[in-house]
Amino acid sequence: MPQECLRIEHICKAYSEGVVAIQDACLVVQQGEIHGLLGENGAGKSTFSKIISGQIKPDSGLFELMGKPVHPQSATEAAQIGIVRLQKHSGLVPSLTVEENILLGHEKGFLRPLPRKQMRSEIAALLKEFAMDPGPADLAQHLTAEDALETEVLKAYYAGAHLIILDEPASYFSVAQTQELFALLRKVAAKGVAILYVSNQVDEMLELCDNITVLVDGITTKTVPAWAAAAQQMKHDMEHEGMAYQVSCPPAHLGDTVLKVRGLSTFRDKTHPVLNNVSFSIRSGEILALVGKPGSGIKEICEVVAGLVPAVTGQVLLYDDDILGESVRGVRDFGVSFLISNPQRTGVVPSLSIQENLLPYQYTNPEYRNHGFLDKEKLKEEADRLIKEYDIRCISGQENAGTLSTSSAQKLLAAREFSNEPVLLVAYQPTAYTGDSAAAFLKKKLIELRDEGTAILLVPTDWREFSTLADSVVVLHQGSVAACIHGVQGNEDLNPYINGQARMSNEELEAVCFE
Amino acid sequence: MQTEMLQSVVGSIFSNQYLSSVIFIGIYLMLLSLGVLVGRRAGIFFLAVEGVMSVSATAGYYFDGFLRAKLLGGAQEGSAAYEAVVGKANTLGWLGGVFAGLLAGLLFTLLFCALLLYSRANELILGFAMNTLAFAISGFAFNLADRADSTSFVLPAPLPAISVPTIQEIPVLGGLFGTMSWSLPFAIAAPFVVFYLLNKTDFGLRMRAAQENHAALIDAGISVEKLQLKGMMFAGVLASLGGIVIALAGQVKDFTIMPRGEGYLALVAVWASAGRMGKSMLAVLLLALVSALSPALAGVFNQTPLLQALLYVAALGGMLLHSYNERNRHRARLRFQRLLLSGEETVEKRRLRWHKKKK
Amino acid sequence: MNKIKRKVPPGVQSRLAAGFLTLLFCLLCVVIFEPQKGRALYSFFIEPFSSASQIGGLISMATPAIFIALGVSLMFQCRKYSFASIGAFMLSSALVTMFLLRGNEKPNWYLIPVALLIGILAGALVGMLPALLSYKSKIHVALSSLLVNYLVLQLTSYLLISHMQDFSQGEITSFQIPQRMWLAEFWPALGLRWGTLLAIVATIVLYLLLYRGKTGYGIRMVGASEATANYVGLSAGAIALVSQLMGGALAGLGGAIEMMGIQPRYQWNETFPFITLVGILAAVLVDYNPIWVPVSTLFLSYLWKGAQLLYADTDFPVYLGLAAAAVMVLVLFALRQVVVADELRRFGRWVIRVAKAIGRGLQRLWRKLRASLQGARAEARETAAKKPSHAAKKEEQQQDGGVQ
Repeated sequence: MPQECLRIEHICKAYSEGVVAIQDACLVVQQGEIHGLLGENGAGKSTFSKIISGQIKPDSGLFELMGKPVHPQSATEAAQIGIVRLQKHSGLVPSLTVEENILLGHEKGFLRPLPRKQMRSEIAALLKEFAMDPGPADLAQHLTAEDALETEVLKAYYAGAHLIILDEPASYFSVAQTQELFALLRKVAAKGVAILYVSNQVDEMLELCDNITVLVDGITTKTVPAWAAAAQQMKHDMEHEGMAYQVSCPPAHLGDTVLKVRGLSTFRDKTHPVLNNVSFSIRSGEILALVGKPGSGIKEICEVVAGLVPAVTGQVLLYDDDILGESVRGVRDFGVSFLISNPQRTGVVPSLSIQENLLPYQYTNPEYRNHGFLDKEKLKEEADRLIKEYDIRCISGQENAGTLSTSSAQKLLAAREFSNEPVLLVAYQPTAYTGDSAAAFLKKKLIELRDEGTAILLVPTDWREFSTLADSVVVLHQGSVAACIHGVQGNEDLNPYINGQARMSNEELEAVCFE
Repeated sequence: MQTEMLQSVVGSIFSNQYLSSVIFIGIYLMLLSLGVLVGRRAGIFFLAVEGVMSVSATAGYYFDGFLRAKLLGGAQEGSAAYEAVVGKANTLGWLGGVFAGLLAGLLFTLLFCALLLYSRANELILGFAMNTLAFAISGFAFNLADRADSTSFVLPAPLPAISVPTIQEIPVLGGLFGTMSWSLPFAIAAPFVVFYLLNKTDFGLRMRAAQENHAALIDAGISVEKLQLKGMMFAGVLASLGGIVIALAGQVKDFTIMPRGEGYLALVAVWASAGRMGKSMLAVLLLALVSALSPALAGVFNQTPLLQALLYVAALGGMLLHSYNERNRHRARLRFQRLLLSGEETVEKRRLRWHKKKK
Repeated sequence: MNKIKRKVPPGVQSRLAAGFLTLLFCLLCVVIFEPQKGRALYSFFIEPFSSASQIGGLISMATPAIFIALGVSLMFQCRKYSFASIGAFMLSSALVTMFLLRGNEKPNWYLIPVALLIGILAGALVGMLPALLSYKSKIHVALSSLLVNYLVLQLTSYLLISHMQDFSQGEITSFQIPQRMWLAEFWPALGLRWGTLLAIVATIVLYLLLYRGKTGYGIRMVGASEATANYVGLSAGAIALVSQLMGGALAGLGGAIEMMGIQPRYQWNETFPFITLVGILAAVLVDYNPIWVPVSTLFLSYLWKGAQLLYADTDFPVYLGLAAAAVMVLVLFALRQVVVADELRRFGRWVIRVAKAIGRGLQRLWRKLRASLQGARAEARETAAKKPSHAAKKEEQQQDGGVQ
């Protein structure tokens, strides 16, 4: 009879502006079990896993580890009692070897010399036991993302963790890599370590997990054993009542070609290309969706087009002007708007006011100046108009933007970029972090813009957004174009292209891309 | 005329005086830059190293003098009472000075770390404010000692010299190393100790994580702040030793409280060599060579300020050189990537070429 | 109620607390290290305000520091932590001195504008050097600016010693700039020159620039987040350059004004002049908001002036003023930490409670005293006259009311 590892009952967490992220979450994980936490984007998965790993303190609820109530105050404390949450970015030290990284958490003497020989044999045995690819002396910075993640899992296991939390790890990997990871996780679990696997991919979960808990809108609705679950049923279960906000999209009226991308390549590090010879084009009045796994290069394309990241070779032509190599400012002057940033990171500056965040283009526009000084009245009017139009919830435009909720911050970003009358709009997950009504509103706005003749390069936030908005689609797999289809209906099966199982031939692509 | 001048310049450069001042400057710059290096490993830009240095130098110098004055009890030089206590006073004086310098430097580092790690102050502004405070403290002590009488302050005792008879007999080196201060063997040992600590121990491994990736520490259940504090304490000890050397290892008569930016030079030495220990020691040596020019050539040129300005020009030049190298590396990388894309070059080919080159 | 609260800028309480603790620090230093305590306390705390000329001297002394602090505000709001103001100030004052000392035959209308211009240009040059190094070669701006400062320190020493030293003076100093070249006085009673007025104007202009202008918006945006500024299409590099250029120019202007009437001899410095350090710390104290810069600068200058007077009077270390300025900044940093601030608040409440208790005790004592006094007076009155006058009665009533 396996012992209970983690028990969580009725956890509740509300953020400061009254937004409830987790309403009522319960979770029981046994030792040696791989437990899945399934939910849509924005269902509160990340918040929940952060609560378990001590990064966020819950407002109320029961939290027991190995039968004892615990209250970790920080991620460090959680790791000390044996709960490790592997971050989305690597938690390895790049300039250390695999063995040194694994040894990092192992308690030893403070100033004692490292017992190199013993260390090496021990770690080598460990790596061999779990059939890992890298050797103990490989530098962490040379590992692939998948090997790095496996090393991290091993590091946590070696340090004696009771529970390892993985937050959407496999979305960056190919099928073969995912299989390797799963094999490792099963071996680690067999040693008695509990694993909590957080994802929104039903198929992965059914393959890997023993039990699956479904999280919808901050409430854990049910827990089922994986053998008893059916994929369609699970997909239905994790959807919330958002279908009321249907947005209909009239057919597009295509105009001239606005953006031509030809032979674009960039590198992730010295020798690994992240984009490899990518070509496509967008016409005015068209929404081109860019689809692929995270890490397949879709974000990099957006950043290169916006001028945020330099490219190694290629051309980005906007009405036959090459904008590659222009600064961001130059690109913006050509009439390109982009919504790429994450509102918490680079999009919104918390220490400036909402108005200042909302109107950077007006602040630098001479029309909004009065005797050389900024025209306060006019700026305020404009800000109030946008705040009202986009329903940005705040007391006034003079408040600090740090007081905004993420949803409102995302709306602020959209208001800023959409109101700029762009020729080309690059929208990377425009409705992320928003609720259903706000998402529906933003989708309508995107359609309006398209009908006004803006070319839109869209990376859809979820499948529903793809099926409502996309006129054409480009599928990327590991940095190169796997498929390019015009006139999509929204119900095509693109999964083979996304997972790298299928690929259009070069002739087919050329016929579609270079029209 | 010109040849004469050249001769005197060359003469003063190849003199024992120049070389010994290079060694002296090299020792304290090295200790300071080791401190900065350890701070860098802890993930902190140790701008306050200047302050730590000047506080520990001041504390060491004045505590030494104060203790010595107390022990001498105002006895006149040459009198019997003076002769009776002078040996004891000197020993206790420099011991007390070293102790006080270390203590003051450590306290100062602790204050810096407390404000930096727990109050989240900006490290540059905090460093600047700390340096200003240190400068004011030094000046304060200087003024207080200035108006004190001989029963409460006398010239402090320097660190004792060790004389090695066998070396003294060697013609050139004898004059240089024959009677050296105790600081020299310590200074020679210091880089090895730091190297051992940073690369061969558990503590060193963790410090690397503190510099490069805090997530690795958090996952391992290690408190980042505590680790940084430990590392900074060690850096503080090194910087304080540097300060003590400045105050007590050279000519104690020549010591001035006014810092000449030694701490900043140490920062340059470490940052211009991207934290590599060997390279930064080399940078220290170069800086010491330039820095020792101004006292050595003071007799030849009478424009000492211009000679001293040379030091800062050299430091700025070093930093420029470093960034120029970085840019070249970036360009080479871009070229390589273009070749990779066009298929003219592959990673394997490059690796093969590398191995050939090494052989 | 809310409106009034919002008018007070955030953090005023912590700044007042920091000021108070700094004064306490000075008091302790004086009490510990000075044998003639009474006289020392008078000359440190009170003498700076003892006469119009002292107050005027205090304000004049703060004038160049205000310029430096304004320049620093501009650079630090942009998060470019360049300390080049120090070098800008030194180079500008040395060059202006040299220029004015050689301009004997030239008329004033030519000399003064050109001198100010030289100051501004020299300052801008020094401010630009680390900025360019960091823009072009990604060199750490704080470190390179400090090195540039030391470089300038040596260069100005060279200029002073070999080109303008007045050997008749005891210390190393230049000849005095002729009085006719000084800026005119606009308030002779206080001895204030036009430079001070210019500082006030500069404060207002800079405030408008930062909060009502396009450049200021860019500077604040870059300072708040360089990534976002870049993202919305502001050229972060150019804005950083402009802010450092202007920061250096302002410090240079301060240097020129210092030489033209406030400190008419260029003095040799073994290290950075204190006024520059005080200026930088003053800007840090008010979170780089130009409108508050004169307030903090005046406060720090008061500490500095007090230390100078103390030094002149009792030979007490003059560095007390500088130490106090640094301590104030550090205390302010410490107060940001919640625990320290809470402890301090608790201490403050305790002090208030003790003060109230003492006050109540004193009040009771005073009442008793007065009652006995009144009793004595009434007795005296009874013996002196049978009928107390109307006026005396009224006075008594008023006194009663006042106390209660």
